[in-house]
Amino acid sequence: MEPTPRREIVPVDRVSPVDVIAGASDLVMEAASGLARRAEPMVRPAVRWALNPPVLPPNLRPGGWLGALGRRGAARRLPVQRQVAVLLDRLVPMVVEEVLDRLDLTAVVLRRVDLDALIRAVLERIDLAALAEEVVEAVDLPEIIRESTGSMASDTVRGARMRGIAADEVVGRVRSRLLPRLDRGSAARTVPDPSNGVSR
Amino acid sequence: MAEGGVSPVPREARPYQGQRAGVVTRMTAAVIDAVVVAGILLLGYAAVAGLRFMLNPLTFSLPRPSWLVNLTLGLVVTMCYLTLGWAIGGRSYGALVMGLRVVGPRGRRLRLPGAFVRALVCVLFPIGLLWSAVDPRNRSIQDVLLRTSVIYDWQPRDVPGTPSPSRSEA
Repeated sequence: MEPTPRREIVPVDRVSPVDVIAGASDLVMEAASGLARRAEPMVRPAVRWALNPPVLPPNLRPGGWLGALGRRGAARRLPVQRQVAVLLDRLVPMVVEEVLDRLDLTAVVLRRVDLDALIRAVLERIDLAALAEEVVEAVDLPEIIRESTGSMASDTVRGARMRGIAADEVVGRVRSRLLPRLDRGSAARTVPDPSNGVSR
Repeated sequence: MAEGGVSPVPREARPYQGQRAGVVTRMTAAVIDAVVVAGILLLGYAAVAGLRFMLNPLTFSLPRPSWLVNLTLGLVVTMCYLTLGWAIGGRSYGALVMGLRVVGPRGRRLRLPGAFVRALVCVLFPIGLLWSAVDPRNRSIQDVLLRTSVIYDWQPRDVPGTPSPSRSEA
């Protein structure tokens, strides 16, 4: 609970007339709202009766007129709202553009925004490791490193391996042409998967 | 590509990772291994000759072991070389050069007894490797007997399950 502010004694010559008026209005408003709150349960039935007096025929009751007025207002309000929205859609960008032209937004941001907190919040939302991995994968960093630091020997090994794989594929193709029955019989030409120990 | 990381394997080779290697690559690796074993034997021979020279320089002559000793030594050195290579790193030097890895029935590295038995079968029946040219799953006789596989695996590290998810045969 908030502690009640200590009442200070302010000298009269330092009291502003505006403050006095504001204080008086606040007092009156407070009293009025308190009165209204208390009176509401009593007044509500009276108002309801006054709007729909049973002695009058329904078409002459003020409540009916008010309802009709409300419906009419609602029917009118929706198109007006739409028109205002269209107008704002056109006006706001123009106004903002004009305002921004007259502002050094960068300076404002630098002065008013806590950039550290902002960056911290952004970093919290980003999986930096995954992002870095994605970037490394996209630019093929291992390949760049290989190219820039790779020796003749590693290039030779890589070439020999790739040629070996190509030759293996050729052998595989020849085999499936010469021994199609053998090849067809091997529906599960798979290597065991160490992760689950089941042939895939 | 390695799971959850950037793969050091070149893009063009990635689709093959984890697939059973064909006969050409395996033969090339075997030839490299044979050269390595021959080098080890030559070094051993030079060491023995040097030792003999140091012990008795006056009556020194180059050792002339019988063919039986030569054969036995060759088989023993090959067995040790292959067993240790497969059990420790999952590959011999030839397989390392050609980017191959020997894995067991569950796709994991062979244990010492498994590696020993495979090395024994390979040494006793080296021609069984040629069966991988005929077998539609690129398996040699040794692979068929012991349910092992030789896969393309260019990953430098020995990580079970490192090869690419696409493990179907080429």
